[in-house]
Amino acid sequence: MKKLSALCIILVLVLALAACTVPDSGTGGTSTQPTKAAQKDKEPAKDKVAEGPKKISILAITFSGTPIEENEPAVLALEELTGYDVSLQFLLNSSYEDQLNTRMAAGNLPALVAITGKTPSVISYCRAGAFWDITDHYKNYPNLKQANEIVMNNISIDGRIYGIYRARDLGRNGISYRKDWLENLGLEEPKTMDDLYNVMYAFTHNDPDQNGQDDTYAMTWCKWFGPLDQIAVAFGAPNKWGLNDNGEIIPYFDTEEYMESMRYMKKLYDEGLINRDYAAMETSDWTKDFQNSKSGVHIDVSDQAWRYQKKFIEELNMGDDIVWVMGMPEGPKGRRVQPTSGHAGFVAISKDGAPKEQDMLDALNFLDICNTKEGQNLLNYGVEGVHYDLNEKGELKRRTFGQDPLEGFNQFMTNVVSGQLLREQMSPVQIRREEVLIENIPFCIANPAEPLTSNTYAEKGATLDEKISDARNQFIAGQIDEAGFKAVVADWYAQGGKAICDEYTAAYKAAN
Amino acid sequence: MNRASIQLSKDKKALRKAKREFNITSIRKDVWLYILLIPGVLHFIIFKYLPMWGVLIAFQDYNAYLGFLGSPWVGFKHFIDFFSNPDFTRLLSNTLLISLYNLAFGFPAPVIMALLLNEIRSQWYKRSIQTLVYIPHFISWVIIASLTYSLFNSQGVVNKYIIQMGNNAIPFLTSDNTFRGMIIGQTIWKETGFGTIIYLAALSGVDPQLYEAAVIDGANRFKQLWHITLPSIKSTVVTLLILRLGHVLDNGFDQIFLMSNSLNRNVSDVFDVYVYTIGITRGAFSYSTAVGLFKGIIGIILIYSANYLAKKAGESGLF
Repeated sequence: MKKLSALCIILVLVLALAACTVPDSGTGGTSTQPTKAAQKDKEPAKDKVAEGPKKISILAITFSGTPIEENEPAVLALEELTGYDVSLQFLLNSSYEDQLNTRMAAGNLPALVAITGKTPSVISYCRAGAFWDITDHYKNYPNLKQANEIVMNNISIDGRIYGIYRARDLGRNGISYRKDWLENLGLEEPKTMDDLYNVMYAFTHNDPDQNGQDDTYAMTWCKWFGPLDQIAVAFGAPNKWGLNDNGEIIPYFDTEEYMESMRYMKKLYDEGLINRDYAAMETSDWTKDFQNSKSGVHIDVSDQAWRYQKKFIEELNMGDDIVWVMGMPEGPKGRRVQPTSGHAGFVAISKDGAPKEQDMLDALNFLDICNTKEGQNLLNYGVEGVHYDLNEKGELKRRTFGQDPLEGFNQFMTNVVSGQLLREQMSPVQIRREEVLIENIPFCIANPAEPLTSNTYAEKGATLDEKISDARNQFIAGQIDEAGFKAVVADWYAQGGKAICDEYTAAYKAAN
Repeated sequence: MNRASIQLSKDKKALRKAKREFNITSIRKDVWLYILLIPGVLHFIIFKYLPMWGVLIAFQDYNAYLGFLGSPWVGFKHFIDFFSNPDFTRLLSNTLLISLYNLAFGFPAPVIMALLLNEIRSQWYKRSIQTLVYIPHFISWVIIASLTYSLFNSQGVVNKYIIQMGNNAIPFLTSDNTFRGMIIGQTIWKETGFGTIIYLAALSGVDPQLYEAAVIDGANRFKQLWHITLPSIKSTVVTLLILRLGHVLDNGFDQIFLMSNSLNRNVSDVFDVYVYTIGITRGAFSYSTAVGLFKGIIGIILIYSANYLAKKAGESGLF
């Protein structure tokens, strides 16, 4: 009896262990990834009759996890406008690249796929032919041919183009801050990085919300290094990659200016102007403290100012002049703004979802229609009378919803033709934001390596980048000193960074 | 009966024949048991043994678009890359240290708890405690990580208390020194209660007459524990220890992944997370398969050697 029960226990254990064993490729952890392939094809799976409307399936990004639904008026309007039968799938932003890799590996991609950037795996899949090379085709379409050549060049891989870029404003970066706090303290909008430090110091120590308690700090950071990079550029470091005196490409962290920016950030950290646990904070929690009036400065894209302001009005019944927005202030080398790349990746056409050449042309045609005036406005704003209204001046006012019914709808919007969107009826902070976008342009620092491809970078770049961004956080937190950081940089060069620089330099010299 | 006839027969031919007879008759005798076995065997063949061929991509430059047959073979390239990578020693020592700490502190915890529970007289009290200590096992690591985050961040309850006591806040979440402690603490909190089940089952099988006899011989509580309880669960402990040793290179992906960040990466980079970041987020399937295969081989070696040692030491072992 005892033996039998012991045997049973062992059997159960072995089964349990077998069930937990990580499969060979080590994908055991993916079950924790929140998957939101929200919509399944609603059509029956059978092959359609040749007469019916053409089908197009799209994979895009959702930020909230509750993406647009397929019976939503905007989707129906899109089907009517394009004449295609549209089916949408979504993956959650925080794990988009991981999930995309898995989907690519499974050979299970829809026709149109939103790609967030030229990651190593995207490069290798494009080279292997998983996506259509549209270099020779896109110019046959009236709207797509208006795409900006420079940005198209930026998304190219080995000189070939595998998709239509998702356009973003170059000067989109900026600082959102609490205007009421600034006024409470009798301070001016900061003009220089030193001013910014003083404002941040006051936001932390001088009770900007005037509630008599020491319960505020200046700025929230999270795991993502975006804000730190913006500060680095403001201090004079190149944007990711720069040119040294010999015309060779060097990484931005191998410059004295970068060091200087780190010292500045360390000072912010040491004096408690930044949340101490930022390195452990998830991106999804990033905006919480600002929203709860615990912090008052936010370096990110300038759109964030209006998002905050809107929430303050709608959810907290606060005034409409709380948040304001500004461009990056002047650093020791004058005003320098880190631009976006002009794109947020591209929309590619997969050979899984569009196996024949005609399917690819159909998909391009669909993207072309999406870039007409009607298409762009539909994807960006939705349907008039449902999602927005027009006032007598022809300006557009979005309706408010508890939960955005259009979430994710604009993630496959490419907007390669500019100037076609309707003018919005804007609040003061939105008007200011539009000005900041334009003011930023002359100060934008281009990344010379943007259009270049380095095979070593494709292979090892992500691992190497992580070492540097870890070392920066360790320096800011005081775990290593400047010599320690320089040692990591030397290590970076030794482990492949040298090859990356050489490859970029050769490609750069060949291109210019 | 058949068995007896086999043992009597010295003739090899007769032996073989008898064996065949034995197989057929015994199958016929227990035919339903064998039918019951089929789904389990199929499960292992289809979901474990067939996919196992996938490890061959460790010897390829696998590209999912080209597929298994289309990808070029590269021999041991990925293994050489992996072993010559300067990260290798760091990964190995981090993995081993966390495992050893888990073994040293996490493994005895359920044994001790089971012994404590076993001493409780009141049955309903024992049962309710048992149920309560199981509960953490059913909470997912994501929840536990966020609980840890809110308790231990710089404005969390723990640090507020520490500051009130007049000390400086401790960066529990963002420091190399506290990382392993946090991990072991979480594991003990989550798994100890559930781990007691097996020991309690073993304890319930101990013959009460032994205790009665010991009491008559004048043994106190502690002596009963030492001379009766512990020896009777010894084989269970050894079995579990052997199984545990096979997982020395597994740290549990979810937990480490959720707790690691750039300020504790020096100690939190372990094989499981490495395989994930290289394989899934960066799409280097072949390389990460090579790492996973290495882990698996080490695991098998450890299980076999532990089993061998257990047998040497006079225990029954696993197989």
